[in-house]
Amino acid sequence: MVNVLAMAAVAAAAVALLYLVHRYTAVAAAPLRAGPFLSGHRPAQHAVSRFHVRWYVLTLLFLAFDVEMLFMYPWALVVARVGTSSVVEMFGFLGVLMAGVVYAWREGALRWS
Amino acid sequence: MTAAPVWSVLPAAALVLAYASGAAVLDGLLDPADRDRGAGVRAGRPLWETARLLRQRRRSTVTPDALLWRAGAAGPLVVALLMAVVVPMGGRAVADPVVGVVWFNALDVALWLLVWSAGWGANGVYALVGGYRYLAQALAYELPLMFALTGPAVAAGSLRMSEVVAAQHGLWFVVWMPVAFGVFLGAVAGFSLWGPFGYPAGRDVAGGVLAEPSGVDRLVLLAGRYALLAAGAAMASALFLGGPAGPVLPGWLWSALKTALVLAALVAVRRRMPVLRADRVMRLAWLVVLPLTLAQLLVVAVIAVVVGG
Amino acid sequence: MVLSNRLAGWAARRPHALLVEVPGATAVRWVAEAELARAGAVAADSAADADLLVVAGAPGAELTAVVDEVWAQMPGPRARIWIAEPGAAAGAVAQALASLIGPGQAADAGRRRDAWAAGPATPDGGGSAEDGDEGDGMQMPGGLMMADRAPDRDGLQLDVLSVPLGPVLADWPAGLVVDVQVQGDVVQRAQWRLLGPAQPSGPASDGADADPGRGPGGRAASRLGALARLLGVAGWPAAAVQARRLRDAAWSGAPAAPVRTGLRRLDRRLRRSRALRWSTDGLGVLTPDEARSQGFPRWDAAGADTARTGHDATARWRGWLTEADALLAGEGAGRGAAEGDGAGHDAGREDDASVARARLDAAVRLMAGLDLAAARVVMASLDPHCGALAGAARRPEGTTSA
Repeated sequence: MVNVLAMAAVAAAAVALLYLVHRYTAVAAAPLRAGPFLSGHRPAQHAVSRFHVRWYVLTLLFLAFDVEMLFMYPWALVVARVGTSSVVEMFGFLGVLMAGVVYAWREGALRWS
Repeated sequence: MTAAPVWSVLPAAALVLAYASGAAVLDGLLDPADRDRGAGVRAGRPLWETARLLRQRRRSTVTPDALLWRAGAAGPLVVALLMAVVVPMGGRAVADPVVGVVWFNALDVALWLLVWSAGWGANGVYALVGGYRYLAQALAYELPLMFALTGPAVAAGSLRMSEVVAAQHGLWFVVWMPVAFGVFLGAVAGFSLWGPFGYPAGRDVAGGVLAEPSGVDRLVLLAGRYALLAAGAAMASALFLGGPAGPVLPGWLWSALKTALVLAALVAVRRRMPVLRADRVMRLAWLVVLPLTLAQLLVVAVIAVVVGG
Repeated sequence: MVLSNRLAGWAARRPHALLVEVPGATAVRWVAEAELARAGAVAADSAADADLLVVAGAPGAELTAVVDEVWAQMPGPRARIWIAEPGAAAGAVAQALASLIGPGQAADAGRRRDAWAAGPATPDGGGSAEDGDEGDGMQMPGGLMMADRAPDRDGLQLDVLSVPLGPVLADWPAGLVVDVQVQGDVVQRAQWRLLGPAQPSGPASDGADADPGRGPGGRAASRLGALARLLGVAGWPAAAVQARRLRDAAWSGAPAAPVRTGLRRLDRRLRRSRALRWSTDGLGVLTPDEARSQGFPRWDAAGADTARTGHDATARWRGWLTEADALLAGEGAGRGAAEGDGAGHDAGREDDASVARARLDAAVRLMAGLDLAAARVVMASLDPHCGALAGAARRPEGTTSA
C-alpha cells in the first residue's frame, strides 16, 4: 500500500517536473487563450452539451456484464476448490447474459449508424 | 514473498518510461513517411518531439473545464505508472497485493473517465467527439478484456500477480489461452488509443482528444499513451508469457525481453490497418470476440477443475 | 540560452505543418507537401498541433480571414508561409524553418496573451440570443451561447450544435465549408459553401502547372491523390504515404513501369484489407446514373462486389486504383476516345464545374444521418474538385434532410 502511494507520488512528481521545466523552456510560460479549433471559424456555441450517444442501449447491456464481474473475480479464486458445480453455475449465468446480447443484437442495439 | 522496498518505485517508473521511449523510437524507425531520412534522425523522434513540445506554448480555450482537461492530459501517464506497480518486472513487483489483477482492471477503467475528461474539458467540438469515441470504443473491448484477465486468475487460483506468474512454471498460459492473450493485446492497444484503436484521436476529427492541448499538456498526454502501451506489454508478459521464466538467461532479462517483444509487436501493428470505427466493430466485439473469450474461459475453468480436483 | 538553442534545433527536425489549400491550387499543394516531407515535417491535425501554417495558392478575403483565425490559434513557436506558385515552395519552406528556430519567437509569444479576445466578435454571438427569453440581459460565459435544441430522428428534444467543417481540416477538399448541425456526433443537416481564391479563374486558365489533371500521368496522380486523402480520413497513414509517393511519381513523369509496380503493391494491400472495407463499405451509395453523371468510371460499377453494395465509397476507391493503373499503362487515351458515346467518363469531366457541384450536392445529401467519421469518408470518396467551381459564381448551395 505504501509502495502504491509512493508510485502515485513519483508519477505526480514526474508530471510536476515536466511542467516546471516547461516554464523555462517554452517560448512563453503563460498559456495562450484561444478559441477551440473549428476548421478556422470561431464557435458561436459552447461545445459542451448533452451529447447524443446513440449507443446508450449498449451501455445498459455493458452494465449487466460489468456487475457480473463483481462475482467473476471472487469466483476465479474458488473454481478449483468448489469444482464442477461452480463452473456450471457461472456459465449458466453467463449463458443468460449472452442470451441478452443476442436479443439486443436482434433488436438492433449493436448498430447505430 | 517479501514486500519490495519503497525505493523500488523509482527504478520501476524509470523502466516504464524507458520502454515507452523505446516504443517511440521504434515507431519512428518503422514510419514509412521518413523512409528517406537517416536512421539516426528517425530513431531520434521522441527527442525531437519532446524538445518541440517543451518549447511550444500551452493553450487554454474559451471557458474550458480546466480541472478535468488538465487531469485528462496528465492522467494516462499516472495510470500507466500505477499499473506497473503490480507487474513483476525482473522477478519482483513493487507491490504485490492479493487483488493485483483487479487493480490493473480498475485502472484501465479509470482511463474511461480520464480520456473522456481530456476531450470534454477543452470545450471544443472535435475534442468532445473524440472523448465520447473513447467511451464507445471501450464498450467494445472492455468486456473481452475483463474475461481475458479472469483466465490466468482462474488457472492460478489467485488474483495475486506473483502467484499467477508462479503458476506458469512448466507451461506458459499463452499456450492454452491463446484467445485470451490476443484479446488482451487488442485491449491494450484499445485503452492506449493506439493504431487501429486510434479512433478517439482520429485525423478525421482534427485529432479528437488531441485537437486542443499543446506544449507540455500534449507532451504528457502522448507520453502517457506510450507508457500505457509499455505497462500493458509488461502485464501481458507476466500474465501469459511466464514472466521471468526461461532457460540460461537470468529471470529479469527474460522479463525484459518478453516485454520488449510484446511492445514491439504492438508498435508494429499500427501500420498494418486503418482505424477501426466503433460502430463498425461493435457487432464483431459482442457477437464473436466476447463469446470466443467466454469459451476460452470455460476451457480454462474445466481444466482448472480437472487438474485441481 | 545554449539549452534553448539546442531545444530549438531538435524541435526543427520534426516540425508539424498545417496546410491550407486554396481552390484551384492543387499543384501547389502537391509540391508543398513533397517539400515539407523532404524537410522532415509531418502533417498537423489542428492549430494546437501546428508549428507551420502553409497556405497553398492565393486565398480570397473570406479564406484569408479563416487562415488568420487559425494563425491566431497556433500556440507558437509558429511560422506562416504563403506559396502562390509551385516554384516558390522550396525557398518558402526553408525560410519558415529558419524563422521557427530564430530569436523572434519569444517576442512573438510575448505579444500574444488572449487570441480570443483580440479577434473579431463571434459571428452570431449576439444574434442567437434572441431564441432565449432571458437572453437579452444575460452575460453568457465566454460570450458564447449554449447549444440549441432540436428533435432527433426519434422525436426526442436533444442538444444540437452548429459546426462548420472545413476549410482548414486534414484531408478535406480545398476551400470547402460544410455547415453541419450535429446531435452528438451525428450529422442532422448539412449545407456546403465555398471560400474561393483571390482572383476567381476558370479551371482552364491557370496553365498546365496549376492544373495537375492534364495528361495521363497527371490524371493518374489525381486519382492517387484522392486515394491518399481517403486513406488519411480512414486513419491509415502508412498506406496514405504510399499513395502520396505514387501520386508524386506519376505526376513527375517518372517511367511508368516502377510506378505501376508500386501501385500493384498498394492495390494488393488495400484490396486485401478487410478493415478498410469495414470502414468504407455501404457509405455514400450512388445510383448508376448518378455515378455516371458525376464522372465516376463505369467498369467498376459493373464489378461483382458493387452489384451487392452499390456504387459506394469502396467501389470508388477501387475504381481509382483500376483507373490509375490503366492511365499509367497508357490506356487512358484510348478509353477517353471510346467513351464518346457517354457510357463511361471522359478525362476532363471531373474538372467540370457541374460535376464538382453535383458531387458536393450528393455529399451533403448523403452525409445526413451519418456520424462524423462516416460523413468524412463519404466526402473523401466523392473527391469534389473545388478548383473547378472557383471560377463559377460562388453562391452557397446545398441540400438538407433530417
